[in-house]
Amino acid sequence: MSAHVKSGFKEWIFTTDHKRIGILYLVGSITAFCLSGIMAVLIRLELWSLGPTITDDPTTYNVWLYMHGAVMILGFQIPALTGWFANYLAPLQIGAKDVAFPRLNAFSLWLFWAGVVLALLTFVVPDPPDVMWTGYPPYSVVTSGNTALYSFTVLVMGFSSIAGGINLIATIIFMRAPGMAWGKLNMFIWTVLAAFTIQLIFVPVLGSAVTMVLFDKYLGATFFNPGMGGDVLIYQNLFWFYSHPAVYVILLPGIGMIFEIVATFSRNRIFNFKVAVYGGVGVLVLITGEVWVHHLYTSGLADWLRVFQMVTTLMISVPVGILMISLVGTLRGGAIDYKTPMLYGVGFIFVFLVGGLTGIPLAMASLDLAVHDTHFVVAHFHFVMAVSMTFAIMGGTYYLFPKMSGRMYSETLGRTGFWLFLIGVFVTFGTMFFVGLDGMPRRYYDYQMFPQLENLHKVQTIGTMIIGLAVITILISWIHGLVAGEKAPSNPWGSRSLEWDTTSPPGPGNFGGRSIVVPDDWDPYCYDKPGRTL
Amino acid sequence: MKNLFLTWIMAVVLCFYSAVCHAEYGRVPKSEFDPETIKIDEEKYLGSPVEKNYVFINEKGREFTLGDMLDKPLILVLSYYACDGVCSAVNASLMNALSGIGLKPGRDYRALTVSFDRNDGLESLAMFKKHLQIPERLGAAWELAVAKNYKDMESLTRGLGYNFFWSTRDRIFFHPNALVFLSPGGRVVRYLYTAGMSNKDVELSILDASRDQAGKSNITDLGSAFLIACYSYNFKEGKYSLNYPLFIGAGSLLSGVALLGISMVVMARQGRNQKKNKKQMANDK
Amino acid sequence: MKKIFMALTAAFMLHTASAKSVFANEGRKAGAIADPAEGWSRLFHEVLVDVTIMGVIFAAITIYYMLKYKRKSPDQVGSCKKLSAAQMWGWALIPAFVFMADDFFLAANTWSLWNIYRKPPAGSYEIEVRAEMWSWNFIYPGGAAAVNELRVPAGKPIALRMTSSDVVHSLYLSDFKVKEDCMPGRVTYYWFYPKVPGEHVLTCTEYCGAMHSGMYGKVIVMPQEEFDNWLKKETKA
Ligand code: HEM
Ligand SMILES: [Cu+2]
Ligand SMILES: [Cu+2]
Repeated sequence: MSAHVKSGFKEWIFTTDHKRIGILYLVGSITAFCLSGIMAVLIRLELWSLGPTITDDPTTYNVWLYMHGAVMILGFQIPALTGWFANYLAPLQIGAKDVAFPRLNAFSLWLFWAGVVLALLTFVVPDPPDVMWTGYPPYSVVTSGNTALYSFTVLVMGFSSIAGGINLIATIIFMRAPGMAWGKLNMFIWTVLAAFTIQLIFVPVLGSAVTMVLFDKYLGATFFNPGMGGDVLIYQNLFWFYSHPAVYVILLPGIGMIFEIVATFSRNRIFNFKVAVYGGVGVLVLITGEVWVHHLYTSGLADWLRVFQMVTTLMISVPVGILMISLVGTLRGGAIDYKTPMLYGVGFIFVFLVGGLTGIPLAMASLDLAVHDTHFVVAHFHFVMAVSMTFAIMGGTYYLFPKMSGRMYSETLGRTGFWLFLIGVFVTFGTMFFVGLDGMPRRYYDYQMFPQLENLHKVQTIGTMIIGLAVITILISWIHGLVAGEKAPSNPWGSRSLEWDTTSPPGPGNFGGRSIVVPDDWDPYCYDKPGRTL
Repeated sequence: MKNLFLTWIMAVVLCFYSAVCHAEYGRVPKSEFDPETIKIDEEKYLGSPVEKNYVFINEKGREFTLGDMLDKPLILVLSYYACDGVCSAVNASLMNALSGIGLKPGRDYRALTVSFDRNDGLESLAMFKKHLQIPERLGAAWELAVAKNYKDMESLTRGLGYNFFWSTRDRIFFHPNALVFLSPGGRVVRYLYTAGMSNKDVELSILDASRDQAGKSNITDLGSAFLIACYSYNFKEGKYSLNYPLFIGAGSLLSGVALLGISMVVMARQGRNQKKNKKQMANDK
Repeated sequence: MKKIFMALTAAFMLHTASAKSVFANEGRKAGAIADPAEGWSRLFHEVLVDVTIMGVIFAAITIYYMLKYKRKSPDQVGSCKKLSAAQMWGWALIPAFVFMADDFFLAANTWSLWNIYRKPPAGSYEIEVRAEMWSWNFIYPGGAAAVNELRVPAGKPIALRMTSSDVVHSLYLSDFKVKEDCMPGRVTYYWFYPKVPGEHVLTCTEYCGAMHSGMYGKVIVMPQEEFDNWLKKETKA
């Protein structure tokens, strides 16, 4: 950092600089990732053998799983993608000096940290929440676990991301550098815009659902109590009405980041860019509110509703397919350099492919009747969302590492981490498909009824250890890079996108006092002409 | 936080308790008869099928089976004809309710009153029907009948969890004053007690019953479909109440859309002002 | 690329056409009962082949590009071709139509299987299921009851009518490829078709608290006669 910029503790805490806020989001979400990752390891250790393995209390297992699911989604993926990436990268890519409302930005950051602390209270309170990240009543109302903690975590995280959403939408619409027309934006910007639009529209629905649970449990309301005129199913509908869109809030910026990485390391134009934006990102936003019933195929909803939403769900294949064609098309005719971020970029394609294709039988209502709520589903969504988006986050963090820290990470460590991760994922979750097909239900502390599955479970646990090793390697590579990495040039990857047209790390105001004016023929993916500084 | 909530719960529970105690106080049993014994165990019988081949005879002597009536949702009234007390009141309140709702008899539903009194015959049936005076509009879709075989009646009432007994002291039958709503497939969809029953409850029960097992409905107009989505049945109070979570959810969705819309408008206005200011400044220079 | 794509489309269409008849022989014997579990296995394997072909082709193309377009010198750049308008539309509409065709094909197949799943055949033997934390209660016509052991006669379609007395549960018969949630205040149902005597696992697949994973039991398929005897004995008791 330039000499006149102070970087003491106080400066970081009170910062309103979008880059520092982004980095604090990174720190928070990686912390959350490690914690819920430890939960995942504990879960897998418990499932190592039949009967009690490392705990003999099923509730302990359920609390671990609650922590794992809720924190991975609310504390890791959403903040990493819409907090860390969007905050750090979006203003740079549009040539802005900062976000539209810097103080609101700091507010949403600290709300997020408050949410992380709330989630951590799970370890402290006497009856920790055991309602899973879905919190379905009536169980969440009758349980002796602390459902309030669940509701408040959701609400605080929701507020945080609404504040962040308003901020970034305003930034993208109004803070673009002069000349940065809509047609010249990066893919990532479009995906962030789409993600936050979804978030703003749908978060209040989740907020109202968990608030009603709170009222039912603690204030004697009967919103979901069927004996007293309440409706059991309405919560599930409200919950998934938000939470399916939430998957796209995660998926879109992640795919946007993957596009940036693939374009940069292929030195190529994004294939069929406009179609990917309108037909891919745009259609996903339109379709996202009409598919939630695919989570409720076995819930006893009216048949016509289930069949109708099966058709809309299958239609998701159209925008997703278009995005994948664009991604692979970008490789074609490129000049690909397999640095660590790019490994995650192409790794994403394969992981996402497995997840997407196994989603097809799940989308088919009749087939889902057998595999719904089994480990088949768990494997599917880890491929399609959990792992693929973790790849996007890891790849993107490696990609931005030189820019944000001013130092290079070690390629050897980075690549080792990637390969361990990839292998671990296929061992763990590849096996999980078979366990699920054999009938193993999810959220099971034990599987006495399926003794024949023990060996496959052991394989999964070994896979998880490999993933754990991978994560440790990745963390080491980052710390090593921060402490002992070479000095990074301003544009180590030779990208043509605007965020690299400044020092590493960029100082306050982002472009060293320059006022960026974007020329008419600007194209962030233009590699056939010599690069330039604005 | 935990403690705060505990306090809350305690407060709520205490209020509830004192209310209950208050209500219990001064409630003196009126007769030796315990109403719990004729209460229908709804949870147990909802969804259960009825036999369709019971044969009934109407006042004109026409024989028909229960299945014949089940091409539409059926409101089944279990009654006895020799009484001039509650039973005709059950029938009368059903009659009033049906007159007050928009659903069309015969097209949207049918009704059937049958007697569980083994002493009833065509004669008492005819008397009773005359006494009841069903309006013509309803008459075509509403049969009053007795069982051809009294045995059928026993198994029908048993299958519905409908208990009744003759009180020699009071010289009346004790029985639940409940309407039974059957789906076209012949399954129990709803029990509705007539005490405090509103027209809307009857209408919603018919709409509920018109969905067959698979949720397929023969409701074709949007109004009814909407109506049924907006209410849910309250087992405790025995009537339909608004489905609040649905409205709250819809409201919060709207507020999300509004949030996006309003902030766009506000931001656009600010953006325009800023541009104007900048131009102004440039001109001033 | 175009050629590859055309070939892909053609292969896909052919595959689709040949698969059209997953359920064409549905009405083979008039009156024969279609077993949902068999239909499930057939359709699932059909789809599995489908997605595997798609996946392998897609992955192969990706790997081919990944290897072919490796950077050879530090300042090599990509071709950065821009698409013509026709190409752009082509690459939007053709995939969209292919995917949609596949979607509708899959949806149609699902639909016919769905109808089998959701319509218990006439004459099904109906058993009431009452779920509670954490056990399954099965109540037979006539009043016989059993806990966690669902005894059924072989060769008869079995319909289950389900509710719950506390929280949401879900009764999953993994070998019969079917499940549905059990809820308080609502009635749900499904049916299955046990053909030969034997034992199968039944589990709960909706999270219901501490003993969720302990809420399992057995489906015991018995010869009709044996079942009748058992039922008679239980009904009396
Ligand atoms: C990195 C290694 C990971 C491993 C080994 C792992 C393992 C597991 C396992 C075994 C389950 C199912 C347990 C059960 O149903 O009993 C599970 C559930 C889940 N995982 Fe992961 N997971 C990992 C990463 C992630 C990530 C990155 C996410 C991010 C979204 C995630 C999100 C979830 C969610 C939402 C659930 C469902 C929780 C629930 O059922 O309520 N996981 N995980
Ligand atoms: Cu979804
Ligand atoms: Cu359960």
